[in-house]
Amino acid sequence: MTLTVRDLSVTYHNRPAIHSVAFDALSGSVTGIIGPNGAGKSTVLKAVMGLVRPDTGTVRVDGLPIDRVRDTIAYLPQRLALDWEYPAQVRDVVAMGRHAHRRFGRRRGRADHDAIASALDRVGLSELATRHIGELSGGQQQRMLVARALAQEASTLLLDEPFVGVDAATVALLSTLLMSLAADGACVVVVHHDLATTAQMCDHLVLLNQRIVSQGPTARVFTSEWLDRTYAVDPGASGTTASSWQAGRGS
Amino acid sequence: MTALGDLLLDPFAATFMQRALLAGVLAAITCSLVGTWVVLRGLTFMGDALAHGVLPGIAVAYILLGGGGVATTIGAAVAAVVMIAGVNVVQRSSHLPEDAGIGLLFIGMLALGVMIISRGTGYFGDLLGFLFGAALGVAPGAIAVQAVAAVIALGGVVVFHRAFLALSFDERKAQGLGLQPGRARIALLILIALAIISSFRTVGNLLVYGLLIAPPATASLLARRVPAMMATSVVVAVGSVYVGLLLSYHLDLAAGAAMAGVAVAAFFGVLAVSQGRAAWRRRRGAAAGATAL
Repeated sequence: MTLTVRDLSVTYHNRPAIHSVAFDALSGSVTGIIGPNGAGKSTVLKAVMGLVRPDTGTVRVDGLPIDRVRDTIAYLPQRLALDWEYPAQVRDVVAMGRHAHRRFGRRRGRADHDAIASALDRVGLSELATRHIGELSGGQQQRMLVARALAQEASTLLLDEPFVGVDAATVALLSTLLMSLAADGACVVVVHHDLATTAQMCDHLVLLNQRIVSQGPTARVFTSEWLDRTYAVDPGASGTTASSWQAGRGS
Repeated sequence: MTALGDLLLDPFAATFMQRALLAGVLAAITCSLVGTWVVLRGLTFMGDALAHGVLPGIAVAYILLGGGGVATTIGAAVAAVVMIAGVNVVQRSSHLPEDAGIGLLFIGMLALGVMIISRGTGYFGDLLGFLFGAALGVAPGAIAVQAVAAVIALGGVVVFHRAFLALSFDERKAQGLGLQPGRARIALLILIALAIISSFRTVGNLLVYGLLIAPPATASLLARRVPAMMATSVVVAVGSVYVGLLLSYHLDLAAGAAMAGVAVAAFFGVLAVSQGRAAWRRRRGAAAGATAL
């Protein structure tokens, strides 16, 4: 299982968001996409999923166009992009992951129930299965979204900032879980802004600042030289400068 | 019978009141099942526009074919199809957001409806009935149409439950799961049109929107899951129909307006109670925190 991205460019309102991005994400590894605010990290994931229309580029999974393999890919949007007042329990949302496995009109079967229960168990939410989603903490909400991907039995997981506003216990649980999914053969791609956890969790890094600055095994790419180059040019959004990654790295 | 019994049950001794109640209850059921998704999907403007935009279809059918129930129902259905198609055309062939397209079609169709009505003198009284409902003059045939619509709506929300759930909670996920959100969206629009077309003769096409939105909105304050929200909405809507008809009978009010008005009043009543309870809980929580310190 290889996710292949070539020459991917996206423009928002005549302003380029990403330009000619190309990388491979392999099964069995966790690939991190890092870069400053406004670098286009989330845009890459959205363009891969076809949620924004790219100007150019191709996205293939094992040589197949994305539309053919959509049900094997789990995309986790940023947590705050979802409506947490929605009338649903934790189990209802996790059950949505099973939709890809059921034909239209078929009722939920034993395999579905088992997959939902197992997914909840793996993220430590079994006790909260019948809670309303709005009653969860940020960390629990993120764990629920990962459980939905687990229930889907997706072989590729794309996660957009999964660790924003979540507790340390959840960061530890999810990063261990994502690494073990990769070890079992999944292809995991994480967009992340905190460099310290990224370096611990990812085997491969894609350094992005609208264009690819560098990519490769973490040990080779996660150097002050490459990070300086990535964060040196402020893409227009406020905040992140060369010094901020060092602060992140130190924590 | 006691005085209270006289007040609550006597009005329904008359056949026309029984029919009005039956028609209102069927409208309440159909509108609640469909309206729950309208509220959750944020399609309330589309619902409003469809409810009012079917007017030219009704007017044309009435003028050309007479005021028959079947003719006006078909006219409304044709107008609904034109509206949905028009909104999609505007969305696809311009950069305008969807609500701009809805607004254009809504006003265009309403203006057309009023122009058609203003040309034909003598239709005004009957057309007022279409606008504001004629619950007290519902024919048995119309009730049968409503019953069929309620069954279709129930079947629709059962069959499309998963697709609507994914569509309204997380459309991106729906696409990822191969649930074809485009198709689910069209199915939902058809169900909205069905609810409006089958109910407009009872509550009126200016007021049917009240039954489509108010009871589900009230239910969303109370229920924590979608099926519970639908059930709560049905209870609220049926209650609004009953109370509305009672008010209409005793106070000599327009029946459709009374039903829609009670439904909206119920929303604000429940909102006030739930806000009051939340404030009381916060105060109690703060007090408990203060004593703990």
